[in-house]
Amino acid sequence: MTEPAFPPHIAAALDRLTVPPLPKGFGDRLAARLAAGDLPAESNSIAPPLAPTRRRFGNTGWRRSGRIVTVVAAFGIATATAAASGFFGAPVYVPVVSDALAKAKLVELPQKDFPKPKAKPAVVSKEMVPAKPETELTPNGRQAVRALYQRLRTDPEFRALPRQERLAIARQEIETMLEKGEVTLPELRRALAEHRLLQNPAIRRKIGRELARREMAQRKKAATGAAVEDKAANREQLQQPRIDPAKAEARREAFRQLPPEQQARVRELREQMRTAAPAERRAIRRELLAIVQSASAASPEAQKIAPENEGNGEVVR
Amino acid sequence: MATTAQAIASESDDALMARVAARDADALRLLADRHADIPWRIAYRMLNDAAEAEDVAQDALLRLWQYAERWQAGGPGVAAWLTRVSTNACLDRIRRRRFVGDDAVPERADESPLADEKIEQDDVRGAVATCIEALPDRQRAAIVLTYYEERQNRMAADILAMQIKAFESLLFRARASLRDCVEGKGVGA
Repeated sequence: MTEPAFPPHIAAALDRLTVPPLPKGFGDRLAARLAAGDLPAESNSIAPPLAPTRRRFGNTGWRRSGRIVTVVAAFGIATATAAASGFFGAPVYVPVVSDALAKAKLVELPQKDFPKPKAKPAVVSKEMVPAKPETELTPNGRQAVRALYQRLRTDPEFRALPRQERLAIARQEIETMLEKGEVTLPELRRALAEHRLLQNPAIRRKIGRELARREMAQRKKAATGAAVEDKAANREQLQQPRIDPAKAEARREAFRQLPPEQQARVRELREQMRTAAPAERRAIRRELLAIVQSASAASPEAQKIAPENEGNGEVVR
Repeated sequence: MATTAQAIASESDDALMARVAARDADALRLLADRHADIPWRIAYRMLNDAAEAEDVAQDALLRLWQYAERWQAGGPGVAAWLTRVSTNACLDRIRRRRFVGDDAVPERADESPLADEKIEQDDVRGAVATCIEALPDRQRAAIVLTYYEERQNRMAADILAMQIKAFESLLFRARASLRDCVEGKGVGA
């Protein structure tokens, strides 16, 4: 059971709005209008015969304007799509449409139409270059072109020539290289592009800065390597014995020549020297020298036992 | 002769429309006798003016005469067609009133025999008529079609060329406004 549209008291009030019966003579007046041809103006908005649904806004100005805008927009979109898909020739990049078409894999995304830089006078014109497949790349093609430029640039006679003649000679040289197969067309183009880049002062400055940075890094690396080598040499030197082995052997032999009590005393003195203070060391040294001198009469080898200088606590074992 | 008249009177609306298409004025008169009260009621309640309501009703029937040749038998029927046409005609008249204004319309004597009755209408009827007249045009049509003409929402929405949901929303607002107005006038209390 559906809810009533109005509460009963409201419905009762609404029901009071009764409609009187048709006025008397309604039919006669209708017939009279019909006979007189007094018909209402035809209006599809009021009485659509085949499509009974009434248009809300009719054929108003807004509707007409909307139609015009829609048609213009549709035409614009259709034209942009056609241009982007290459209908008028080469595909043109249209910001949204081209991306959508490329995403749908209908066309390849064309290059954006950036303003082309003004063409510089070409060193080699297309007419002069013989037709050759552009797929073969020789490893030294670009270097050959660079070498040619370098050679020509450093040639004083070439530099003295007028510009037109210089260009003609360069063209001739390049043609010869192409005919000989020393350079392929792509390599030549790449070399020319690099050459043009190098003519740019900003790029040249950048290259100079990069080269300087690399040189500095190389120097730093070399310096670090030298320091490491020095350290290794020092370590080797430290590992080497400071005393000549022959001399040490001679000193051992002299020690053996001493009488046993003197040998014991020498051992004792050397042992004391290890831990003695500098002043005590001098006293110990003097005593050792006295022993050596007393023994030198018996054997010259005994002199070799004495320490060479103060503070050198080398022990002969 | 009487038998012929009876036979004509028993014909269906579609058959009568076929006769109207053949320019038979009697057939139109018969259709008017059958259905003229529909545009009359709708127009009377929507416009709250007997003279204008009669004009709308006559125009609707004369349009039937005009469009008879294009009539499609087996369709919704003459009553539905007259409902639609008279509703649209009322909406057009209401909108025209806004631009022209009542002052610009030449005064016209109400020749209908109901003029006296109209003056004597009780307060409730007048208040309800005023409240309905105060509604926006489409809300007014929605109330008349669904409450007084007892059309289904879907059919009323179709007549007003609206989606059913939009129509139901419109009808909801119309009912609320009408209820508030009637209660505000102290009629329903």
